[in-house]
Amino acid sequence: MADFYLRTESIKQSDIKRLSVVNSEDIGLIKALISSEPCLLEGSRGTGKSFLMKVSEIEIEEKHPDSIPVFVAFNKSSLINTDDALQFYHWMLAKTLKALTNKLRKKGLAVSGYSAGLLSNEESDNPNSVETNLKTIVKIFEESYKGQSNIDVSSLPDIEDVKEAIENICNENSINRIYFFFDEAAHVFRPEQQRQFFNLFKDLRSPYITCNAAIYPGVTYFGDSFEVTHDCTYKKIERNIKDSDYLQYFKDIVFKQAPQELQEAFDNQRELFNTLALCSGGNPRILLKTVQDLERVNVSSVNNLIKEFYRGRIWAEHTELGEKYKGHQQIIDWGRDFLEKTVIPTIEKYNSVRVEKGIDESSIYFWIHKDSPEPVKEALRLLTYTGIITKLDSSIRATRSELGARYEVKYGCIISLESSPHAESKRFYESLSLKKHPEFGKQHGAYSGISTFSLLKDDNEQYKASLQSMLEKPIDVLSLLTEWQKGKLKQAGIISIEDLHSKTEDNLIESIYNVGPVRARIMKNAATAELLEYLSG
Amino acid sequence: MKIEDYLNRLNDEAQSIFQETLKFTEELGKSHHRSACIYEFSQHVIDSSEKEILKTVSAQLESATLSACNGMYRQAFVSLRLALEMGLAAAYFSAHKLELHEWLGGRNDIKWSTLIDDDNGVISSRFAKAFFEEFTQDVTTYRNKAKSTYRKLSEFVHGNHETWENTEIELSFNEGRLKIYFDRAYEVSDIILFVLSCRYLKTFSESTLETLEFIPEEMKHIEYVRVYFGGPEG
Repeated sequence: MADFYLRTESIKQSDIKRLSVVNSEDIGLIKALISSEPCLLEGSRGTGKSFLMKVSEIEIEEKHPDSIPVFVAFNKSSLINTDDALQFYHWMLAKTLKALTNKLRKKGLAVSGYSAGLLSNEESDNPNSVETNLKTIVKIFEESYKGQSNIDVSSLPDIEDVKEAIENICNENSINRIYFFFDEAAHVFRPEQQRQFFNLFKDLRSPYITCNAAIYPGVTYFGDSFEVTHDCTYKKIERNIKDSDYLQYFKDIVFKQAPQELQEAFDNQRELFNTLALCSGGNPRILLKTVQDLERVNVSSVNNLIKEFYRGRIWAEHTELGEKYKGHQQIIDWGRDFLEKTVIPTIEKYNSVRVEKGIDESSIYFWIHKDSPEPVKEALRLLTYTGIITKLDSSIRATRSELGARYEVKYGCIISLESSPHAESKRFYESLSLKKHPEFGKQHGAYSGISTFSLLKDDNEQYKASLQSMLEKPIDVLSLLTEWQKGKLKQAGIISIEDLHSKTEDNLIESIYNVGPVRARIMKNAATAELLEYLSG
Repeated sequence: MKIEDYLNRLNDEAQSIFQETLKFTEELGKSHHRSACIYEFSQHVIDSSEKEILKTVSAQLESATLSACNGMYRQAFVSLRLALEMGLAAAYFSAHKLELHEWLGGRNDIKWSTLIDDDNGVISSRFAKAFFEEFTQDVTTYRNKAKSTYRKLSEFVHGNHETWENTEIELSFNEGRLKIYFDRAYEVSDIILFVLSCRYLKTFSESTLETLEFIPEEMKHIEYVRVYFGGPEG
């Protein structure tokens, strides 16, 4: 089939507008991105974060000529492997300022010092010019992290100098505001680097600067100083397959890129297109990819593709995640097993029982008890990164009024189990009911494989060292525990996080008076949560 | 009228065109940015002759814009063509040292047909395979672009009749012509950056690549360039 743009980066700036499809929800997101408040845009891989940021950039260019949008793309680089948090902070800051200088140059607001001397013999223009200031700052930072000089860190320009330089640029050029759009930050950085990134994000707050960033669910680490509710507007890209405009919206997205004959083929067989659109579960990249890989627009091609893609290929990105977050690898792999071997078959059975009984209900949802073991919750959180599951809400009452979180499994992953997915899809979709779902209680048998997860062996010395220091910390640092609980643990000889981590829930119940399954779970979860947060560095 | 008066009058006219042209800040900024990018790129090329040629390319692009600002559109297009030729020649000479030295000694000319040759030029599969294989995917497109741009610019050099019909001979501001200039300037720098990236990127250290952030910025729609700079695949 025809080639489609699967990534925003592959689209030339001049083509963005022609390819954009914007619904009312998108308009709300764009509005948040061009407001003066900093904004974080959360969405799984391929849901259109970069694209929406590009559309917002163009919107600012066209409608707010007194503001300047600057796109900052942090690429993977060996230079960011520094262990020095401050150096890394300076690296990010230098990249950000260079993106700004380039943008100012493109806007005609600054001239390159190099070429100023090309046509005349003057080597440089006014040394006090704004651009020179900014460039000097960038140069000092670059030298500091490239290790070319032994600069005393305290002599480096600090964030206030940078903000002042930006403020001057704005004043001198009658610029109202500079918008930084950070794309891919959370994707490229390790957890510790992400925490530094959010420090920078917060530090750059000024009446002249607005920061926006695209982030992923499940794998974003904000650190202690960044408070999501206070420091930004938090928006999620949510494209629910039950929305009334869902099918039309996705048809528009595909048709903007599809060649004429493909459009006609889908127009003649709209149901086939609808099945593919629903399978993608609100993910434009997956939809475009499956349309691109479709051999022919007919039932058997669609069925084969759905089975092949949603039973197998869709897991590739999730499994790759384990390579990046090595500390989490066991949990990542367990999450896949749990979903493939327990959750999806359970939902499938739940549905087939209803079909046998002639009940007109179907489900792609499941519910997990709020007090489930921490590694289980972590595994589910990591599954939201690729969008194989989506967390719908976190405190829903289920059987016996117990509280828990409700998740949706990607439609394609459930319907692909049918022998003829397309034939089943229409009935299945129409009978979907959010209120119908299997439940997984706090002691579900499938959890046994992960409740005592091992701290993975990693050859990296730095990782080992930081893990060791984490394990040696006293249990007093666990903010999730009450003083009473900490006292009880200490009485039982459990002093460090490592002591607590090495005990099973049963050990705790046996050795501490007044501690039953509920408290044992709380205690274990506190230690595990702390370890998990820092497990991948 | 004395010659001074005559030239002063022309200069006044040029000045008024100049003021009119300055309103196109963004387009002027973009052209300047790209010529500055080529200059910055040249600073990392090791061979001093190639570096010098690229510096000339950047200077030609700047003087092309200056001519356009003064309403001397024909001269602007001529400078652009020269920049295009020299930009490709730098890459060509980097692979043909003997010819470089003959050219430096004044015994050899730069021939456009050699630079753009389908099989042995600087935008050929052979050239790309030698220096950055992934570029082979796009050489045909870019070679055609280069040929087409060169042809359009040549019309102004050879005194093609149509180019005379469309403009008055006297000095005057011509918005249509100015916009064509900005488009051509973009095409020329686009082609040059493509060729330079193909030829030199793999010779640069990681630390140099770090400072060339404008390459992935300008060329990120080309996947292998984006990925080479650590950007996302797919």
